[in-house]
Amino acid sequence: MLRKIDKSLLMSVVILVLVLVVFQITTKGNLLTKRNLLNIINQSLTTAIAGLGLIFVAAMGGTNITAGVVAATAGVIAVTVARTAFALTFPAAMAVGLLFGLFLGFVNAVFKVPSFMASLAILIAGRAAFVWYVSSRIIFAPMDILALNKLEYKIPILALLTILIGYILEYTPFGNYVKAIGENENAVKFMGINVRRYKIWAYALSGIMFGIAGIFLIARSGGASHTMGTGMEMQVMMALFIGGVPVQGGTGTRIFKLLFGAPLIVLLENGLVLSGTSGPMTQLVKGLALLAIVYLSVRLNKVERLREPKEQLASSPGLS
Amino acid sequence: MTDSNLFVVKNVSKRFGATLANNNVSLTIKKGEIRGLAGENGSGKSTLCSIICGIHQKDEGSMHKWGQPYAPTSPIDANSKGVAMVVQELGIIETLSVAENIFLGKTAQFTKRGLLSVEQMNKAAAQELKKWGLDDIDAHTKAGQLSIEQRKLVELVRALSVNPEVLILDEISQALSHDKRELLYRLIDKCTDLGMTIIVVTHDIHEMLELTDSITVLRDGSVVGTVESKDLTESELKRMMVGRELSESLYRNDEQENQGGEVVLSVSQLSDAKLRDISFELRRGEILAVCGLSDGGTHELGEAIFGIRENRTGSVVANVSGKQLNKPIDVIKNRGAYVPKDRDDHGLMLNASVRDNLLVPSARRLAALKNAFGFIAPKRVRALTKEAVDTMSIKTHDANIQKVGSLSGGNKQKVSLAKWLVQNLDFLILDCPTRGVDVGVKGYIYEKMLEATKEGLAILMITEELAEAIGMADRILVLKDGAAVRTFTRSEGFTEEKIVEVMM
Repeated sequence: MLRKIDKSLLMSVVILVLVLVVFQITTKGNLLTKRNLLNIINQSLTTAIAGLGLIFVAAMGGTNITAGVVAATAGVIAVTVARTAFALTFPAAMAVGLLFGLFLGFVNAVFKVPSFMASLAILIAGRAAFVWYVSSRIIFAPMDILALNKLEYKIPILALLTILIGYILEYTPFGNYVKAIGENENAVKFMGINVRRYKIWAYALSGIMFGIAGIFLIARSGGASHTMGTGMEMQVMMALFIGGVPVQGGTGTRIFKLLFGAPLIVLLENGLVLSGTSGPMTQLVKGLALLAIVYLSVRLNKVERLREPKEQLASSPGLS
Repeated sequence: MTDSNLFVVKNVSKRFGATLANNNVSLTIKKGEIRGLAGENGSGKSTLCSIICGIHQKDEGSMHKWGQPYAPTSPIDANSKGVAMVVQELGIIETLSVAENIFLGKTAQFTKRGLLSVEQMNKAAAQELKKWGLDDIDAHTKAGQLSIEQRKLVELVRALSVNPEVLILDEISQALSHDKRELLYRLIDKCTDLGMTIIVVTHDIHEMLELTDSITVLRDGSVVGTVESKDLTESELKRMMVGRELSESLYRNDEQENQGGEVVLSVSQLSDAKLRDISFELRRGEILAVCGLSDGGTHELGEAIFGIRENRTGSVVANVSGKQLNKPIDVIKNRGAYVPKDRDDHGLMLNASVRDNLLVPSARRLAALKNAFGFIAPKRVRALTKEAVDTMSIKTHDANIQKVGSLSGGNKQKVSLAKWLVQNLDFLILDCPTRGVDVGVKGYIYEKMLEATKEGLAILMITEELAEAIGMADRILVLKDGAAVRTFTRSEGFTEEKIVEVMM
């Protein structure tokens, strides 16, 4: 019997295999070379790190589309700090992310502004401030930061963060609370759990991880221009959903789905480019793929519902 | 009797995945008859109703209405063929007005050149409401501002507005309290006077026998039999439903109240918009029932004690710790809990597994460090799940995977109660603990409540069923217009008349 988790995982596996086979053919075998695979892993790292933060928000059924602007701001501030005190690079980036996250969490949980609109507002205003500050300059990263752009450092750091976030999501009250909020916020309130507090924490955590992602983003590109991080938020969201994290949040939110989705989304892009597809066409295919995947995931949930025994189904309100 | 006077369902079967929800169901209903459908949760009553009213399509079999083949493709199609239904769960849209809800999907009659005349629609809605004696509901108001009971009545009016020949009422009275039920019964009488044929589903056995002409009993998707209601006693009907002998009484059989131990909860001078100056003490080991009419404030009392109503004055104290309880979290921290009346929306996470539903309220207690980031050992979660499933005998094929939403109503309620009962609390506030639950599970829940009180739990049981209060309580607190009017004790002998008298 196929159950929910198995099914969404199955969906991802099918997509992965499909993408691999198709691109291996269209790229005439250039996809699965050692160099290209390392490249894919390298490219998906920042997305995965930012996704580790967003996963708490996604689990609640919320969104935070500030990943790009937070990573950019945190990255630039981190390199500025790194010039004088390298030890403070990470704390500085995390602090910037934390501030952004706390602000969004506060606006969402206390003033009840829907998370999509609140984070859109922050994205617009934050990006404007960032463009104004950077203007037409290129802010170069110092050597210490550039040295971080090595898989020998990045993979252990990602592994460490994954274990930490995986632990919080699966094995702590906090992780279970955020997933429960995604399932039924009212029920969580009636359990005497302080929903407001945990919502703010979830947004704060997402901000912190965006901040860390910012360091690696700037380390890889070598410096920051005013366009740094644009489009990153969508990449991160796609990584989560393509990996099978339910769009509406809840207990189907699992860490391995992100680790699956992040390389998959990069693979999709990489394969298209290697097959000789033009830039705009790549984006078009990405967009359509996201639509198809979200449709599939909603569809899978629906199949699940139809299997539910009679009482439940029969009571679904119809127009009479 | 000729066919033209009969509504006939013949050999209807319906399958959902692996479950055969209706197995070769046949029944014949005379025009103008009130037919009851009885059966435990999951026996296939609701499925049958939804096939008749077009929500689901049958896999096999046939239906004839007044001699004509009848096969609705949708609820709207069924409406046009003279069949309407009021569903078990609330089917009202809160953000629309009462009039819009009544004429939902049927607004074409008020539309001219693409423009809807709201005025005409409101007028028509007001007429419909008046016709059924519900003029106290204003057609202009948003449905969300109505009480749950009023919303249910609006749904009924919506069904009646299509002038149905066959009307199906699925568990409609469970949302209504004593006095509103009387109103419903009068409405049903009026419908039969107009020649309507009515199919009623209810878990209230007493109501079923009173209301119907005949009853068809379903068990595991098949028809067990059809009997005349007047030839039937409650215990006979129960036996038919369950398929085995039930112990004589659902309730406890002692006549003496449990005096209770130490006081665990003191409520004093509790007031808010709906409550006036309520004071009482709850003792270890007792069941204190709270009864009242629909606007008596019984549910509000539970919510106020739990701390989710605004602008509360007075005090609620957990006597064991001596702490004042202001917010839900204070109640939980001081070994109390609250089980809301609206199980599906407020009590459970329907799409999550049984395990997750049990885990979340106990998460902090299970964590190694008692904070939000402490480690919850999978072993402890397994133990908790097993304990809850075993002690409440929750029927699930795999608690780790099966979604609560796919359980039957009775088992859902068991999960809802189990998540607190496993915690060995000091006090528990239960709002309608047996709502929408069949007799078998009902008896089981009562048994578990008594077991828990023997171990020292104090229960505040808010109920809409007087029989439940009389059967189970040590003391009954009666509320009227938000104020406590009288407390009865078990040893002085509870009777329905005495209680109703102070309620009114």
